[in-house]
Amino acid sequence: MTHPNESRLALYAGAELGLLSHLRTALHLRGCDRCNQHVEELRGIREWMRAQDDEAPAGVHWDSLAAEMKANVRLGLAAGRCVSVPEPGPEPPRFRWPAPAMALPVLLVVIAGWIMASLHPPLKPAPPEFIVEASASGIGVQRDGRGFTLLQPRNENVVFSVRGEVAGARYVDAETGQVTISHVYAQ
Amino acid sequence: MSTRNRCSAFLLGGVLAAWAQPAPPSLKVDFPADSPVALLSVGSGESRTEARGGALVLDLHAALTLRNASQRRIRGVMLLVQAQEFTPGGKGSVAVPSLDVRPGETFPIRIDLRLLRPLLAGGGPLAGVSLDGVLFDDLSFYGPDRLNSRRSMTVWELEARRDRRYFKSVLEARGPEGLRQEIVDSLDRMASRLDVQVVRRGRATALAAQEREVKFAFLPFPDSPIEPVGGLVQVTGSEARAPHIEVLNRSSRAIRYFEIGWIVRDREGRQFLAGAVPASSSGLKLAPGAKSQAFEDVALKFSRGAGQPVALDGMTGFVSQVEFADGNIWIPARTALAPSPEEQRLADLYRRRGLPALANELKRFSER
Repeated sequence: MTHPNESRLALYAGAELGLLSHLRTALHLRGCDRCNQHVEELRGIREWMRAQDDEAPAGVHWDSLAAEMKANVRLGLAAGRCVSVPEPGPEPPRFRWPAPAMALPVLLVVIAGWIMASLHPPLKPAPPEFIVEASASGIGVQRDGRGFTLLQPRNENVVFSVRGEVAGARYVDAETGQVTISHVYAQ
Repeated sequence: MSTRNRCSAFLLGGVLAAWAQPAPPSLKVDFPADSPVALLSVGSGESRTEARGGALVLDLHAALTLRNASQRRIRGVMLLVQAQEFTPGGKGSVAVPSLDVRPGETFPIRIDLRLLRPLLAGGGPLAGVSLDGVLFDDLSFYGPDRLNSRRSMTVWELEARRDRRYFKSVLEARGPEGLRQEIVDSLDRMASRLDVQVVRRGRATALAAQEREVKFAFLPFPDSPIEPVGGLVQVTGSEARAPHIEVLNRSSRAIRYFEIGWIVRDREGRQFLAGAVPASSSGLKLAPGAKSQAFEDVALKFSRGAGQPVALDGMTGFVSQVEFADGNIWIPARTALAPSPEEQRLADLYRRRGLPALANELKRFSER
């Protein structure tokens, strides 16, 4: 079942939908308890807001504010002031869109950062797991400050190799003449 | 000083000495009762303990003397070395291939370990050594085989026989001077060595933006049961990551394991044997005509000498071993790019004792 979105339900609760949309939403609400409940909640909120309106602070006249807003739209700020009830107090700020104006550069920086990051990903350090090393000092496995190394003392010609997570060293033991192959496993 | 004071001083000195010089590290060797090799002695003269910064470093040098208690000639032995307190999950192995130990004869195996742990960590046994496998001259095997030592030692033994045959043929065809030239060339190749650091999963240090895909070139082996179809590895500077090779079973038998040898080439054109990429699946059963992959989610960083990075330029792969479902093993013909353990041993013998010793050694082995 496809449910009407939040805004459609809110408009329905305030009886502000067009006729066709209103009928379609009403039809849906007949068979949908969830949306019905949501509409009831929205209506409750509207009722509460009306009640708040009745208890508006002294000096706040909703009707005159509404008239001012309409006049601002139609006649501009100066004309709006003409039709409003004059109030004492500080002059309102002239710059009326500070939040969007500040948000825009931040948004641009975020988008630019995202583009740059996707083009040049930052350094990724190795996960702190096993590290297997094969070097002149031996082949070893290390983890969290603990280590285990098989050494090749007094041997110059050591052949190192790696197979999966296994490091190997191959050398001829100087004392015995035996070829010796040692491995460390990080498993 | 009174007798009482002398005793106190002596006791205090003893305590301080014991504190300053920790007990020598111990090695616990444990072989099964029916083992074909018997432990005669464990020598650990040079072992020492040292504090470095906040860590304790223990060097453990042990020489095990073993005796062939079986009725067959021993060709190889692999020992499992574990130090769980130091690296939980980490373990090591020491193997000695290319042996020719008759029944009743003794032979040594050296184990040289360095263990590192925080100073404040607890005590306990340092390392345990157990037997993982013994390979005999008829290629029969004894042991628990936890490290796949049967397969590894069989491959080394087959390679040893192949290379001894090769050097014998050189001696017969080109005389002592021809053999000398072969061995000198081999020593030159083995003198070029790379140090490798392996990091499991992900990349070690490199920038992803500079990473490029490098295709593997493959050495052709017409008789190989496996044919590499293609392979890629991600390369950045001295680092190679996530090798991925696809292979086809072109034999008429099922295959349960294979390895692709891995040779890296630097920008100066020098080539180094870096290791191998094993089959991805441990329970592989690759039917005739089927394809499979060798893939490793590891990053390998190559350097030379004192950590000098190697600029990687190219990769070459070759099928280095194949194990069929029936346990038989195939190895490729000898390639100079990948010297076997036996070639290394023979070259070292020449370096230490000269051409006559090498020729005698080749005659000593009667190949089956």
